Amino acid sequence: MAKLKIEVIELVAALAQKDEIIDLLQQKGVLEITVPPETEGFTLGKTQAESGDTQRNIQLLQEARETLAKYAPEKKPLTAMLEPRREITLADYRKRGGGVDEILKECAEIVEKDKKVADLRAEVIRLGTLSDALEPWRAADIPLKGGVTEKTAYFIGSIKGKADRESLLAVLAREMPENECIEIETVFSDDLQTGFAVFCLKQDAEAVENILRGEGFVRAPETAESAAEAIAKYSERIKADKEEEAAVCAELGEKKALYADIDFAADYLSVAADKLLSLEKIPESTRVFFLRGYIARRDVKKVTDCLERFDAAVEISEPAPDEDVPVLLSNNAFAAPLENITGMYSMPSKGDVDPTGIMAFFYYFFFGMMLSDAGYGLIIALATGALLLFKKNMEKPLRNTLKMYFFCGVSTVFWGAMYGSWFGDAASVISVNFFGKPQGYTPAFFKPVWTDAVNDLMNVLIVCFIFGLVHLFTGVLLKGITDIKNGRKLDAFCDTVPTFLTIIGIAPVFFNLFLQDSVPEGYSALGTFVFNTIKTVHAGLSKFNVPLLLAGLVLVVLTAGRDSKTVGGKIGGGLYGVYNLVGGYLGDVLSYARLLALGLATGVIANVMNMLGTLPQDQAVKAVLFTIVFIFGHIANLAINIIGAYVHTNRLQYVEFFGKFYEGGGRAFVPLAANTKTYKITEEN
Amino acid sequence: MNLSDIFNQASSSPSLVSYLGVFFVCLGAALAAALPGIGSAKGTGLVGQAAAGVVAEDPNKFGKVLILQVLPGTQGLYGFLTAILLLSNTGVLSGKADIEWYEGLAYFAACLPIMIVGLLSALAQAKTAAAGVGLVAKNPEQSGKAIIFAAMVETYAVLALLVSLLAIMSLKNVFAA
Repeated sequence: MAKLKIEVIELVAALAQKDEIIDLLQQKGVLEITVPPETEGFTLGKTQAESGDTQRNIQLLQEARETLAKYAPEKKPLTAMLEPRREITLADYRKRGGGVDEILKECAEIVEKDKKVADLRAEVIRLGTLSDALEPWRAADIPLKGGVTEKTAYFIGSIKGKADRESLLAVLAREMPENECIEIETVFSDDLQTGFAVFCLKQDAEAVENILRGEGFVRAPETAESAAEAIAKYSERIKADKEEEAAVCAELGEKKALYADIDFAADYLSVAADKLLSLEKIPESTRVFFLRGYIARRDVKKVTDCLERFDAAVEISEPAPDEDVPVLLSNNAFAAPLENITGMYSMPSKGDVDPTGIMAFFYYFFFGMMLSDAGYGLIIALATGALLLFKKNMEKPLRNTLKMYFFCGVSTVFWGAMYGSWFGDAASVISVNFFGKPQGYTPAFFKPVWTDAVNDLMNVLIVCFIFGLVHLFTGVLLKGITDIKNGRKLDAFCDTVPTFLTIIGIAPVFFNLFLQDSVPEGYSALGTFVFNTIKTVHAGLSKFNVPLLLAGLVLVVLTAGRDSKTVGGKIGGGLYGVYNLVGGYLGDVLSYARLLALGLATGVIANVMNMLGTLPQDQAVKAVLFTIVFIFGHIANLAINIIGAYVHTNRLQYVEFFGKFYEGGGRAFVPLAANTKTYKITEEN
Repeated sequence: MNLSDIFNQASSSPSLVSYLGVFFVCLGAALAAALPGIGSAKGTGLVGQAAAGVVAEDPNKFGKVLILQVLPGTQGLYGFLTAILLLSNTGVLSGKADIEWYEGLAYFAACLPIMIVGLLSALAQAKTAAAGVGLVAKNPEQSGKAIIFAAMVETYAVLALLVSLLAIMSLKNVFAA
């Protein structure tokens, strides 16, 4: 439940051992390297060029993998994400690493072949278009590009739209009246164009074509052979291209085995890339190198032990007070899953305490209250619990996520029982509709332990506000603890006591608005107890809340502006502090109404699902429909409300809770480690 | 039958006037479900468009942007919740409704907060969430903050929902007395 103590490790060793030492540290994965202050005679290692190559190769691997997926789709079972990384010993890892160049070569080939396939496909389309353009000319059994004999010439072309040879001949006769030796033959005619073959004297050919061009005549595709022959040639080439494409595709389709190699190479290269980056932070002289880094105190021995066999000078020291030390959190199994939630907001800064441990209780508690259906809670808790129990080899981040949902699920069962919501009012609906019980009957087990939220809004709302106050006050208390830890005793007093006094003083007035006179008849024992307790405390507080409030307000006015230099500033700050405190807490406490609202949303929609299933009169139809609506309706409701509960639990932690004491802005500890995706490198013994 | 006959029948028949209460209750329930529903539909649609663009670039961000898309969807649920509770509390749902016209009007008024705030807060929240999608696209580690920005807006829908529900529940006691 805390931030780990981080120390500085400094290491000087012979340059010859640098590679081995860095590799070893990377395998241990517990040390973050930082750039040490400049020292004369030492220069930082330069690895940009090599880094660039490695990055390019990683991209190549990714490209090849994506390409391969097009030809040989990888079939992953649904449970793949539950599987841990495959283990590989360091020796095997190194041995296989020698083959990475081969893999890269093959990847380059795959990318190359993919390009080839694309080219072939484009070629097929191009040839098809050319061939299509020739199709109308099949009737012309002479080369389309035209030709000449000793005296005559011919050329072939078309005119857009409908045209007839007579009108063309007429035009020619008008333009070249002296020339009689012209013959035009219609090759084809369709809606779009009309094709002609024109025969004339060799010396007139150019003039004739020019005149015809004026009529919109354009030459046919100029093939050296007749259209039919050219089409045949094209289709042969198309066939050949298609065969080649199929062959390449088939070849690529056979390469499924390469996935494993690519994944290995990607791991290998990303480890190498991380190492190269870290080398840039390590200065070296001509003989030795100097490594400075951060390490958690609990890991120091691990590292110093394994460095013993080298000729290295190792020194452990406290970081300087103004140093930007990274933060590493360590919590018990109950809170550890929520380190991510803390991290998503911000890592604790140097002055902060780690809020995760205390937040954990509230987090699970509020999540359960907002999802608030025991049936849904059971589903979540059983599913995640079973996975945690039977798949012990899952990766840690996944385990932690499942653990978080397990605890959330347990809390949801608790709250569902409190509200008497087990898949909504399913127990009652089933008893009434299928077992002939009277309307409104609920089996004893499924009756609310506390109260039915839908029909008891006020009492639940009050309890929500009380939970809110407890949550907020915990935050304020943590602020005081933070102050004391940082040696600000006066602040510790000023930040907490005035707030407590004021809020406790004003709370009875606020709760007066909501508190009922008495509980309804048939109220549960727990509900009655809770109600009476609240009543008693409220009555007790109401007796001396005014002095408390006044004392609190005076203290706020006196202390809230204490950071201000001028007297006017102090007074202004104090008054503003009062406004801020009262207004702020009103908004904060009201915000906890979402605990009720989201709980209602789950419960009422669950009830509606149950009701929808019982609409038909016929018992058999009703049973079938009820089953179907029950399954799908509740799955949908669960899915929507899980997201709602998650989001709003986070919000209550981030905005209301963290806002009271947490600064954040710390830097997460990022050790040099083997960050692999597919293979897990195990240490040899 | 001439006009005056119809008028006489209408004014002498107690049933027609008594249905006016049911009408107002149904109008309240209908608008409580419809307006926030429209807001949520438009809102999730807006965020969904932004989200689709991000997922096209990087399918791995699906989970993160999905949460943002769902956020402006809750107002629709709140409206639905109000409508169901109103219908069941007034007995319309079970077919045993006996509501005076002024009671119906009061129930209608009780639905106003969630109608109005549900619609408008869903639209406002959608804009925030869509901007959050942009944030996730550029900086996926900060998705928690994008969610919080959008969740801030929802507070007002929650408050409106509570006012509507409290009013509906209290009216039942008012008219029973």
